[in-house]
Amino acid sequence: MNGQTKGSKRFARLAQRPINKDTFIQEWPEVGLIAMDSASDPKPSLKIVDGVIEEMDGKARADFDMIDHFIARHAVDLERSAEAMATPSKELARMLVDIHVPRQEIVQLISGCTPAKVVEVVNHLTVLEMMMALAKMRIRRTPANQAHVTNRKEHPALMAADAAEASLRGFAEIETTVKVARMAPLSAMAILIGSQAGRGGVLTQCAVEEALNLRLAIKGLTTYSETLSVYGTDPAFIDGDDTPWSKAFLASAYASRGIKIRFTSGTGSEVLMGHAQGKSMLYLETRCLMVVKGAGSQGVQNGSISCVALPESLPGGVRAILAENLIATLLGLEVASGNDALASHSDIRKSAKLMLQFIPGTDLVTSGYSAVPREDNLFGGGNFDAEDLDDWNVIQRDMSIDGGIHPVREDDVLRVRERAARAVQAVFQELGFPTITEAEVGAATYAHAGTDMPNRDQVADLAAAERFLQGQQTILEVIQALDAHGYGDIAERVLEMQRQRIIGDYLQPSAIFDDDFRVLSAINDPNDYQGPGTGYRPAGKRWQAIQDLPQAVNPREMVGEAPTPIALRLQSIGPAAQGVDMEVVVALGPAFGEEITTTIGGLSHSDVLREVMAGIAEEGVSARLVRVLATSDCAFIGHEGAKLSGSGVAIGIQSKGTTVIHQRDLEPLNNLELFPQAPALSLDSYRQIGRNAARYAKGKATTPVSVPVDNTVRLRLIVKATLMHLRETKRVVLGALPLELQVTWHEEPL
Amino acid sequence: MIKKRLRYPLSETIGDSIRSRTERPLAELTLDNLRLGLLAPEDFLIHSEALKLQAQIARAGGYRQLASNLLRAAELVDIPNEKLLSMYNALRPNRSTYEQLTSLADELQNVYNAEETAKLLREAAEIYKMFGLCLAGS
Repeated sequence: MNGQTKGSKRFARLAQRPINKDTFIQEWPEVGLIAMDSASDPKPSLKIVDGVIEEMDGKARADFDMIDHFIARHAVDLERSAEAMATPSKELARMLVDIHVPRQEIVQLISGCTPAKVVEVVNHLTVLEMMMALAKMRIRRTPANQAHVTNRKEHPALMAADAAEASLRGFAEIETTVKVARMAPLSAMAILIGSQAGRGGVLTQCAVEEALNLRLAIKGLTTYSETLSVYGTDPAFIDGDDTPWSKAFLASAYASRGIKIRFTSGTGSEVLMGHAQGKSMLYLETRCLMVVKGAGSQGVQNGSISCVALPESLPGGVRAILAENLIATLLGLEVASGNDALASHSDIRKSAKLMLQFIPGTDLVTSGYSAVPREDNLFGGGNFDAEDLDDWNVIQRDMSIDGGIHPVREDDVLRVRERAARAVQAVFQELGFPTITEAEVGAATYAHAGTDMPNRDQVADLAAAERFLQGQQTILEVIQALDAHGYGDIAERVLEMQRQRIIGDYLQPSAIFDDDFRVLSAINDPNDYQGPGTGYRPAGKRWQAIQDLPQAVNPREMVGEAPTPIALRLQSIGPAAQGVDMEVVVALGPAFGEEITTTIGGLSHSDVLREVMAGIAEEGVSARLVRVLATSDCAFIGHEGAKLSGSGVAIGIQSKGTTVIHQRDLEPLNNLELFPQAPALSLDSYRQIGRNAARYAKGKATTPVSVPVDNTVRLRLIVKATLMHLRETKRVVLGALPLELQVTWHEEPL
Repeated sequence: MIKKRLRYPLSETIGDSIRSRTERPLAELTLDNLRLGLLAPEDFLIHSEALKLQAQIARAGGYRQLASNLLRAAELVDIPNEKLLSMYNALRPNRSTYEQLTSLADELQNVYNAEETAKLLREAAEIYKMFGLCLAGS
C-alpha cells in the first residue's frame, strides 16, 4: 500500500506503481471476506424422500432459508441427483477438462448437483483447468461482446453516434444507463437508433430500476434487459427488494412481451451488503446462479461485475471470478463474463485477468466494454474503454482469438456516426422534442468525449422524455419518423427488432443476431468444443477482419521503395586485390550506396562513408574500398575485408548501417569491435570507428568506441531491419569475389 | 401443425405462419403497412402459441427451467401492462398479505387461465408466510 518506506529507493519506486494503488487485504472468513473455500461453506449432501428434498448440503428441510427452498424446488434435477451426487467431485472436475466428455453430459450431471457439490467440483480446478473447462462449457459456439455507451452530458446525438460506432466495431449488444432516471426514454431511443445505423441486429438495453425498465421495453425502446439482480443470502435478496419468486415472475413478464432477459449476480455483493453469513463469495454466488437457473433465465451477467475490486483484494479472488463464470456455463446459462467495471489501477493486472475469459471465450467476453472514454462512463468507469480499443484489436490478432470486435476504418466510423446523429435529429424534430442543431450533429460525428459536445437544455430534454414515457407514442412513431426523413434502412432495422419479438427466437439461450438478423443461439450454434480441431476458431472472412488493422502496412511495398538519391558514386574496377601496405579495408555490403542509400538510422551512405574514411585518415592510414557480394552478413563482410587488408584490419558495413571492426586472424564471428545497434550510431560514431580501425592496424592501444544504448531500438525497428536485410540479401551473389571500388563524391545527390 | 421435431429458428422454418397476439401474420408487419397506418403497438406483441413453441424448443434442448419460464410467459400475454407491473410489485417482499397473494394466484388461474404462474404465486405465498415476508393480514 501507500505506506512509508524505510529508505530503499527500489521500494519507494515500487510504492508509486499503479498496482500499489490497489487495495489488498488478508482473508477474514467470519464476515465473508474470503473468495473461495471457506471453512464454514457447507459440505455437499442431498436426501430425497418421495420426490422431495429433505436435506441439502447438510441442512434439514426445516432449517432451509428462502433461497434453499427455491433452489430445492426449481434448480436441482432430482432425476439426475442420485448419479451426480454419488460421483466423486474430483472425478467430475476431471470430466470438465477431459476432451472426451462432451458438454451435454456434464450439464446433465451438474443439473443434479446441490450448490455445495458444484463448488466442491470447481474447487479442484486450477485457473488453467478452469479456462479449458470454460472453452468447452460456454454454451454458444461463437463468442461475442457487449458495449457500454453513455456520456456525461447525456447528449442524445453523441449517444447515437457512439452506439453506431460500437455496432460497426462488432459489438453484439449495447447497454446504456442514466444519471437521471427520467432521461432513460431518450437515451434508450438514441442507442437503439444509433446501433441500427451502425449495423442491423444489435441488441440494446437501458439499465434502470426494474419497473421503469419493463416500461421502456414495452414501449419498444429496448430489446433486452439484464438488470434482474439476485443475491446469495436471504437478507441481501430482501435488501434488493425482491425474492427469487418475484424475479421469476418478472422474467416471465418480460418473456410475455417477447423481450430477452439476463439476470445479474456476482461474487462480493453479499459481503458488501453486510449479509455474507460467513460464507465464501463463490459459495454464495453459486446459490445465486442456481436461483438464476431455477427462475428460468436463459443466462446471467456475472464475474463480480460492480463489486470486482472486492474479490480482487483477496487471495485467489481472480480465480474465484473465473470459477463463477465457469459455474454459470455448467448450469447451462449464457454468461456475460464481467470485465466491465474498473478492477485495478494496473494495466498489467487488468489485462492478465481479462485473459481468463478472453482466451477460452465466453458468450459475451465483457458484460460491457466501455465504448466511450472513462470520463463519460456512467457505469462507474469501464475496465477497458474507448482508448483501449486498438489494444483489444491487436491482442485478438496476436492470439488469433475472437474477442467479439474487429478493427474499423476512420471513414466508415465517421459515416455511421454522422448518419446516426442525423437520424436522431430527424426523430427529435418529428416527435416535437427539443431541436438537435447542425452544430450538435457535427460535433457528435467527430467527438471523442462528451466535452467535445455543446451543452443542451437538460430540463427541456427531461420534459420531452417524460411526455414520451407517459404518452401514447411508442417506437412505431420513431420508426415512422425515420422513414419519413429518408432513413428507411434504419427504420427497417428498428422495425425488424420489433418483429423479432413476436417470433421469440431470441428468447432461447445466448441469442444474438448477425448483420442480417439471423439469430445465433445455443440452440442452433451450440458450443461443440471437444479438443484440438473442434469448436470455434476465427477463420476465413472473420479472421481476415480481425487481422485487418488499419495501421498494418504491406511489407512488400516497404521493400520496393526507391532508394533516396545520394551524392556518392561507387564504381567497381575489377576484382579486389590482396593488400600488402599499411591500410584499412572498408568492406561494404552488396546493396550499399546503390539499392540502399541510407542506414536504418536515417544517415546517408555518402556521409557515413565520408566519416569512416576521414577517421582512418586522421590516424595517417590509407583506406581502400571493396564491395563484398558473396554475403550480406556483417561479420563475414568484415572478415572478407580483413582477409584482403594489408594490415589485416577492416571495417565491415552493412547497408542498414550495422558495422564491425574485424581482423584477419580472428574467427569470422569474433571481432575487434561490433556495433550491432545501427540506429544508435551517429556520424561521429562512424568517424571514431574509422579512427579505431586505423589504430588497430598500427597496433596501437585503443579505447573501444562508446555508443549510447537504447533498449527500445529492437522493438521499434526490427521489422525495418528485417526488410532492409531482405533487400540486401537479394543482391548476394554466392561465390562471387569481392570487387575493388572507386569512390566519387558529388556536390549534389545524383 | 407442429412437427415432431421443431426446427429452429422459427423465423426461418415457419416464419410465414407466425402471428402476433392480434392474429396478424408476421408478413404483414411491414414498413409499408406502418406507413398506411395499419399497424398498432399491440401488433408487435408475441402470441402465446409462439411462446409455447419456443418452450418446446427449449425443453428439447435440455433447458427445462427456461421452458417453464416461457410457458408461464405464454400464460401472461393477455394481462394488460399495468396489471402485469402491479402483479410484479405485489410479489416483492413485504408488499402483500398472504391472502392478497393467494387471491392474486386465484385471479391468475380463474381469469387468465395461468395455471403455472398461479402455482408459482401460491408457492411464493407459502414461503413468504414462513419467512415473514407478508404484510400482516387484514
